[in-house]
Amino acid sequence: MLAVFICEDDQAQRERLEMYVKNYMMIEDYDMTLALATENPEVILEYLKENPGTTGLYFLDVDLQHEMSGINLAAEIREMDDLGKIVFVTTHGELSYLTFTYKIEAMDYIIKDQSEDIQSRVQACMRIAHKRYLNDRNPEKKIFNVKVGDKIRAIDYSDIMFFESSTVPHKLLLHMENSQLEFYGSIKEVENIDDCFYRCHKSFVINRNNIKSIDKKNREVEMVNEEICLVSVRCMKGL
Amino acid sequence: MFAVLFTQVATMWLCSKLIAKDWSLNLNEIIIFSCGAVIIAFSYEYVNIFGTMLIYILVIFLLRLKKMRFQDAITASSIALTVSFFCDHLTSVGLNYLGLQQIENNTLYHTFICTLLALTFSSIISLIGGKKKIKDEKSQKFVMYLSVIVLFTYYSSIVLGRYLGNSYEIVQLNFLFFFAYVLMSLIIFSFYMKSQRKAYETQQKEAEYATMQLYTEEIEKQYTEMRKFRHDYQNILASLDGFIEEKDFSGLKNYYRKKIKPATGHIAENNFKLENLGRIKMRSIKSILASKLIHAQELGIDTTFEAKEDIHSIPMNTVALVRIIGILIDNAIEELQYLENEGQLLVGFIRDKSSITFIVENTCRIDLARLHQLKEVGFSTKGANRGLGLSNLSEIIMQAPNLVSETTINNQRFSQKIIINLEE
Repeated sequence: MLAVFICEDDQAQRERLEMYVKNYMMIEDYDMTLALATENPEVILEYLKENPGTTGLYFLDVDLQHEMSGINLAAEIREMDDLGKIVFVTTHGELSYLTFTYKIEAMDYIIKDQSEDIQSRVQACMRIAHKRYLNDRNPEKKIFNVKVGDKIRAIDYSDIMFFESSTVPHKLLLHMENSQLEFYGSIKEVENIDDCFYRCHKSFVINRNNIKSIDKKNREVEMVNEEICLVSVRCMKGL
Repeated sequence: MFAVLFTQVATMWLCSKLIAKDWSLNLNEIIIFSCGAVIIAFSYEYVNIFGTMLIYILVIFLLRLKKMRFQDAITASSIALTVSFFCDHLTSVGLNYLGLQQIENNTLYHTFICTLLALTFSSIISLIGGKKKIKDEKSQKFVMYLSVIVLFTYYSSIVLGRYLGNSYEIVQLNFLFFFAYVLMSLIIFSFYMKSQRKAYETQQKEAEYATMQLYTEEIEKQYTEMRKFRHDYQNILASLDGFIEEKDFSGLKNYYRKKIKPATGHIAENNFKLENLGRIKMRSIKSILASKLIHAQELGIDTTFEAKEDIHSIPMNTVALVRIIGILIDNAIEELQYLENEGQLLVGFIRDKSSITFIVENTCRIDLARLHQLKEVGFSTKGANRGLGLSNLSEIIMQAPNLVSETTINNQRFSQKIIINLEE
C-alpha cells in the first residue's frame, strides 16, 4: 500500500492536487491511499513518526510559508522513509534541479506555472511511483551499497564493471558503464562480496558477468564498457 | 698532480649533479666526462687557473646532456663550482690552522678532505633546495643570475690572489670574503623571495577585487530589473482592478491572455539565476564562482547556480578548491561552446549533515568519448596535446585527504561531483 501525501500552503492548489490524485487512483485502481493533504509540514512528519515503515509518494510545495521549507521537509522525510518517492511542486523561479536530484533524490518535479500540464504530470508521477514501488519489493536484485558523503547509494551488481584501487590508501574507484565513483573501502572487502567478483590483479576486482574479452598474451581483460583491466600472472588461470 | 686535477673535475661534476638532483648515470656521460677531464687535466700546465672555466663549460655541457634546461644547468654548475672553491679555501685555511700543511702544497690529504666537504655541502643544498620549491620563472632566473655572479666574484678574487702571489694572508682573506659574500647573497635572496610573495598576493587580491566589482555590478543590474518589474506589476494590478470594477470579465480574460501570460515566460530568463551566490560566504570561492559563471552567461550560456543552504567554510585547502572549481567549470564551458551554447550549465553546492557536495553539470555532445578516455593524460577533445585538465584534476583530488569524486556521463549530460567530508 503506497501512501500519498500532499503538502501545499495554498488552499486552492492543494484541493486541486487532491482531486487529481484521488481521481487517478480510482481510475487506475492503484493500491494507494491518500494519507494526508495539509499545509503544515509537521503533520506529515508526525504521521511518519507514528507509522514507521511507511513508504509514501509525496507531493511537496517548495515554498510552504512555514519555518520549514519544502526542501527541509523532504530531507526529513528521507530520513524516515528511505524508499519514499518525492515529487516537488514548484514555480519556475524556485526550481533547484541539483538539490532536488542529489540532495533529496527526488523522483521528479512539477512546475506549477504551467497550469495545463499539472494534471498529466501528477498522473505520470503516480504511474512511475507505482511501478517503482512494485519493483522495490523484489528481493531478487543484487545490490552493492556504497557510502558516499551522507548517503548510501544502492548500485546493481549488473551495473558494476570493476573496482580499482587508487594510489591513495583506502580509496577505491568503482567503474560503471560510463561513470566512475570514488569511495572509501578496501579491495579485500570488495572481492569477497559475491562470486561474480574476481580479484584478477593486486589493484583490480572485476565483475565476471561484464567481461567482454580476454587477451591472454598481454594479460588484459576488456570489459563491456571498453575499459581494460590488468591481470596478474597468477590470476590468469582463474579466468 | 694529474690525479688531483682529475679528482677536482670529478668533484665539481658530481656536486653539480647532486644540486641539480640528477641521480642517474649513463654511459655517454661517463665517456664524455672522462675525455673532458683528461684533456683539462693535461692542459692545466698551459691554462692554469683558466682551466676552471673549461671545467665550468664541461659540467654545463654534461648536465645539458641529461636534457636539463639551460638555466637549471647554469644554476647547478655555478653553485657546484662556488661550493668547490669555498671548500678548497676552507680546507686550506683549516689544515694550515691545524699545522698540517703549507698553502703551496696541494697534498692528496687536502684533496680528499676538500672533496668530502664539497660533496657534503652539495647534498645539504640539494636537500634544502628540495624543500623550498621555487616554481615561477622569474625567481628561477634570479637564482641563476645570483649564483653566476657569486661564482664569478669568487673566481675573480682567486685569480687576483694568484696574481698577487697567493700568500697565506691572501687565501685567508679570500676565505673570509667568500664566507661573508655567501651570507650576503642568501640575505638578498630571502628578501627577494619575500617581495615576490608579496607581489603575488597583491596580484591575487586585485583579481579578487575585480571579480567582486563584476559581481556588484550584476547585483545592481538585477536591482534595476526588479524595480522595473515592480512598476509593471503595479500597472497590471491597476488595470485588472479596473476590469473587475467594471465587471468586464471578457475584457479581463482577454487582457490576461494577451498581456500577462506571455510576460510570465520572460521572468524565467537569465536574470536571477546567480542569486544563490549570496549563500557562499567564503570570499575566494564566491569570487571564482562569480567570475566563471558571469563569464559563462556573457558567452550566452544558460547558467544557473544553486545553493539552498549557507556555506560558511569548507574544510579543505582553499587554493586546491579554487583550482578544482576553475577546472571543472572551464571544462563545462568549453563543451557547451562546442555545442554552440545550446545547452545548460548547472553549478551548485549541497550541504548535508556530514558532507558538502560541489556539482558541475553540463549538456554534452552525443558522441562524447568514454569517461576513461577523457581522463587520460594527453587526451583532449580540443585537439592533440592539450589534455591536462582532467588529469590535473585527478592529481589535486588525490592530494586532498577528505575528498571523493564521482563522474557520470548519461543522456547527453556530463556530471561531476566532488564530495567533501566534514567529519574526521
